Parts: sequence; C-alpha cells; structure tokens
Amino acid sequence: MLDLPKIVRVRLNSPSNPLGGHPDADLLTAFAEHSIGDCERAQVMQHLANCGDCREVIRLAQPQIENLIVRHSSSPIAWLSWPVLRWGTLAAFAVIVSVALLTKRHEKANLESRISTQVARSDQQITKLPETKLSSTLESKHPESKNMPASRTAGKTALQPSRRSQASYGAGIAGGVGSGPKNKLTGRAVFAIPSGGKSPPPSLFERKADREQKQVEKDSAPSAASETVTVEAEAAQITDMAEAIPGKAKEPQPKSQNGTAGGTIGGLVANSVPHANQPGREQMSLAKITTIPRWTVSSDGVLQRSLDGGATWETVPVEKNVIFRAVSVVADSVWAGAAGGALYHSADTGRSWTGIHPSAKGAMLTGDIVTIEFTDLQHGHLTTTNGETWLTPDGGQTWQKK
Amino acid sequence: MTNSAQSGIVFSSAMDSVLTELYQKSGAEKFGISQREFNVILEEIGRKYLATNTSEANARELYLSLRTEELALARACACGNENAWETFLIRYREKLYDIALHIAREASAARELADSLYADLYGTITRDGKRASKLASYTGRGSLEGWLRTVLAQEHVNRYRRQKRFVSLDEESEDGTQFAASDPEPVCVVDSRVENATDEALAGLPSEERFILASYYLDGRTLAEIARMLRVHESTISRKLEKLAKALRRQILSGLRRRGMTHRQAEEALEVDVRDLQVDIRQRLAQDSNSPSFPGKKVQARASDGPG
Repeated sequence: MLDLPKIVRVRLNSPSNPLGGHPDADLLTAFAEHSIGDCERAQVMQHLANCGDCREVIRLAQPQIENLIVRHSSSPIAWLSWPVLRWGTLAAFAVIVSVALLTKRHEKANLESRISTQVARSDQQITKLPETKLSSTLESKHPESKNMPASRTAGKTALQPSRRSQASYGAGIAGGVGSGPKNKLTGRAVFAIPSGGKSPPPSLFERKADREQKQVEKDSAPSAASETVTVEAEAAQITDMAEAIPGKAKEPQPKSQNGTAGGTIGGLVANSVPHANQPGREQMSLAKITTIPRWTVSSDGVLQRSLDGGATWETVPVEKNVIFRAVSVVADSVWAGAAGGALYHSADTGRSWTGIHPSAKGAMLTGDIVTIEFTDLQHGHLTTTNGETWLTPDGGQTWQKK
Repeated sequence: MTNSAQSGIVFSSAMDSVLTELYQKSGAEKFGISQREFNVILEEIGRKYLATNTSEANARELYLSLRTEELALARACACGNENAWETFLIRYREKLYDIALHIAREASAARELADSLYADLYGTITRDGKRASKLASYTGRGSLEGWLRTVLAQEHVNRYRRQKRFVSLDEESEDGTQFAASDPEPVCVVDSRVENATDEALAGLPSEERFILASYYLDGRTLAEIARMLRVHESTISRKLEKLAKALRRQILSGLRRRGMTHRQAEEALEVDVRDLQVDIRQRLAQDSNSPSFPGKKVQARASDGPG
C-alpha cells in the first residue's frame, strides 16, 4: 500500500475531538447494520471521519467473524442459494449458446462446401469432347441410365470410384451427382458442352486416356456423337460411368453406399462433399452460388479460380514451375496437388499457401498427385500415379500411407 | 386524527392505523404496554429523530423502519416487567458475555464489563425515585443485540480512556514512561503553505474517503476490518486507498505549486518530518467547534451514550 506523507497523517488526525457530540448508540448501531437512511448515514460518516473513538466503537461493535462464518456454513443448502443458482444458470445458458453457435457454424461450413462443389460441377463447360459411346455402353449395362440423354467423356487413365462423391473431369467430361443409386433424380446436374470452347487441347495424359476410352468403346454399342451435350444423370449413372472407364474389362462394381460418384480425368478436378437425400439443394439461387469461388486445374497444370460463377478464370499463383493435377475445396480450405508429390494448402480461399510434405514412417510422398478428396476440414485423402493413397485425419498435420 | 403536541407532527387517521399495526406487531401488549403508552414511545422517538416540521411520510418511514418487537421488549424491561426480563435474559444473557469477551479479549475484564452493563440495564441509578434503565434509551433504530454490542463497545472505550487518564505513578514506573526522555522542543520552521495545502486537499475529500484514510493510516485497521465496517469487499478498500493516497499527494503538490513552490520544493516539503511541523492547536480547536453537532437538529450527544 502506498504510504501517506506524514503531514497528511498529522492533519488528518487533527480534528479528532469533535465538539459537536457523538452519535448515540442507536444511530451507531443502525449505521453498523446499514439500517439508516442516506442522509443520516452521511452525517454519521462525517462524524466517524473525524472521531477516532466512534470509529473504534463501530469496529468493536462488529459481529464476530466466527459467528458470521458459522451462520453461513450452517446453511443446509448453501449451493441452492440465489448467487449460486444465478451464476449456475448463467453458465448453463452460456454453454447452450456456445453449443448452438458451434453446431450452426459447422452446418454452415458443410453447406458452403456443398455449394462450392455443386457450383464446380453444375456449370462446368467442357469443350471438344472426343467422341464417346460411353453413354450407350452404360445404357447397355444399366437400363436405368436411359434417363441420361447423352454423355461424353475424354480419356482418362484412372477413374476412381469413391464412397464419397468425387467427380473429376478431364478436358471434357460430363457428369452429375446424385443422391443415391436408387434415388430419384435429386442430384441433377446439367453440363453444357459447347464445341470449340475455351478449354485447352487435350494433353498427353488425356490422349492416353483417349486410347483407353477407345478400348472401352470396342465393347460398347455406338452412340451418337454430338458436339454439345447436356447431361442430366443420376449419381448412380455417374458412378457406373466412372467405374466403367478404368475398369476396362471389369464388371461394374456395386454402387457406392452413399450413392456418390467419383472420377478424375486429365487435369481438371472437382471435389464435392456428399449429400444424401437433399432435395432442396438444386434450388439454390444462382446469385448466391456465383458469389462462391470456383476452383479448377487447367489441362496444362495451372490452378485457376473463378469469382463470377465460371464466366472468367484467373490463375492463382502458388509456386512457379509446378504442374497441378488436382484440387479439393472444403469451405475456405483449398488443397491443391501437383506433380512430384507437391501438395499445397490454403486456409483462406487461396490468399496464402503453405507447402505440405506428407510423410509416414519415413516414407515421403513423391508420386504425382492425381486426386485429392477432403470430406471436411480435417479428413481427406489423396492418390498418386504410383498407386499410393495418403490419408490425413487432422487437416494435413499427420498422414498415413496405404 | 392524532395531534402530537410535543413533536408538532399532526398524524392523520392513516398514520393512526400504522401506529396500531405497529403496536400489534410489536407484541407490546403481552409485556403490559398499552397502545397509548406505545404511541408515546413512538412519539418520543419521533421527536428525537425527526425535524420539527417534518412530513407525515417521513414519520411513517421512520416508524416503519423501527424494530418494534425489540423496542417493546426493551421498554418493558426498563419498566421492570418480569416477563420482559425473563425473555431478555433468555435471549441475551449468554450473548452479552460473549460480546463482552469479544470486545475485552480477556475473561475477567469481559465479566466485569458485562456485569457493569447489566447494572446499567437494570437501572441502579435512580431519578426522581425511579430506577433509570439504560434500556429506556433504546429506540429500535437497529437490532437490540447490535445496540447491546455498541453500548458495550462504548463502555469499553470509556473505561480505556479513564484508565489511561488515571494511570498511577507505580504503573508509569513499571512501564518506564515516568523516566522517559521528554520530547524535544518542536522546531517551528515549516512553511505554513504545506499545512494549508494539506488541509485544503483533505477538506475536499468525501467523508467516507476520509473515514477510510483515518481508519487505515491513523487507527491501523486492516483492509478486512474496514471492508467489514463498510460492507464492501476488501479489494475495494485496497483500490480506494491506493487511489486516495496518489490523489492526495498530487493535490497537495498542486496546491504547493499554486502557493509559489517549484515542483522540487513541493516534493521536498511533503517529505518533511512531522516533528518539524507547527501545529496550531488553537486554530484546530476553533475549526472543531465549527463542526456540525450530531445528529441533525435533535440528537445531541448524551454523556451516558457517547464514548468520550
């Protein structure tokens, strides 16, 4: 405590013998018990400020602390007292509000990721598709695919069916996402594939895929070859389509449980978070959708972003001399995979990037990343050209190799 | 309508109903106090605490704040009612000794203090042929137990003052004070501007802040004791004291600079030893005489009530 100058103590002690008289015992008692009015209290206080004797009386007249403690502790249900209940109620309310906010935020993040994926798919403009008879192939294998008027695809080395929805497209693939193999057309997606579009010419990788595509075509019935097709397909159809291409001689596998489709073709990758039974999804207003950034990787390995619903695309500078192969978006979190095992992550919609170097048990990720799929901010996996699958359960902090 | 001639308060019929209600609530009837006698007691209290031309609302507020049940008990005891004394002893006999022990902190002194108060409560002094009980002065402004505690504390302080005043030469010899060197003659060289600036700063303080300062720096009370007296948290007192000490120092320095001192001179003057200060006792006493009498217009200190 700060010391007081001695002169102050002396002058403070000077009027210690007020001649005006002392308050009687009743008033002092009422003062000590706080049972007098403000006016009288002020008078008593003024006297006490100058009278050491009365201050001493007030001090001595205070109830014993032990009595107060006993009185407090003897309360049988002290924890039910008003202050405890009050603060307890406040704390419970704060917890409830926090949980509600967290839940809402989580739902919002999921919704945004869904929207971004839908946007990435719904307005894909794919140009110059090599002729394909995949649709007729699918029709011959799966009668339900009759609902799909036409589909076109460019070649692809490996379309990987996924339990989660993943529809990856090369320099020209049409596809859609459905809510489930047996569901009605809830995940409808419409892809306009204009001829002579802006898409870059197929890369070497894509030409290889073309050859494989032709191999598939040998076993399938011929289909109409249109320059521009609009695809309206169920997820089951897309799943089958994705399975059909890499499977070559394989028999179509059972549809994924979640009824989602997946695939990767060429350098253009779009990932989505699955949605089962969400009939209102396609009712999202276009205005809202166009405000969400769209991501893509061009066929020549450039990471691109569109902020106007896909009308224009801008190159996102991440690092020089990197050939990107896949991109995955969950809310603001963007993952971009490139050749040579280069993996980059942005937590702020591409404003800043961090290089990630996955390793597990001394092994490093070295192969070209061809697919990336993040189901939420934490869980995701990627695949490489050498057949490796790397999983992370904590947003890229740690990795497991399969 | 009741006209209280002595207090000058004219009570309406509504006030009469309040007095009747208070009488019934007090249980004075079982101690042999009639409604009329009870009203007289209340009027006496009104005369003591209310201004001459006070409003009926103020009177009503005062009467409703009284501890009428304890008031009836105390006044019945003062009148010598046996039932009342029986009740009083059952309630307060043990408590009185506990309180005395808490105040005196020594068993024999506590017993002596409590017995002395018992005598006063019973009324050993006679006035006009009647025993004058100290309980007759209880007005019910606070609890009866609190009042007993306060009265015991006052009695203890009075005894301490008397003992200090009449210390025998033998006791002084034992304490060594008889042969203590006399204080050196104060050197009256201090600038009066320091005292004036200090008085000015202190005069500007609210009474509660001055009370806190005096309790801590003069009486040596702990933060917890001051907090208990004011019923605030200990940390509140700590913060206030810190703030007050800084503000006082700043104000005094400012006052000294206004009186022509440089900052350095003011700092040095503030650190002057108090023994170098000239304290004008006459002036201080004159100031004291101007301090307002207590409480208000009516409550003049009575020698038997006051501690001094």
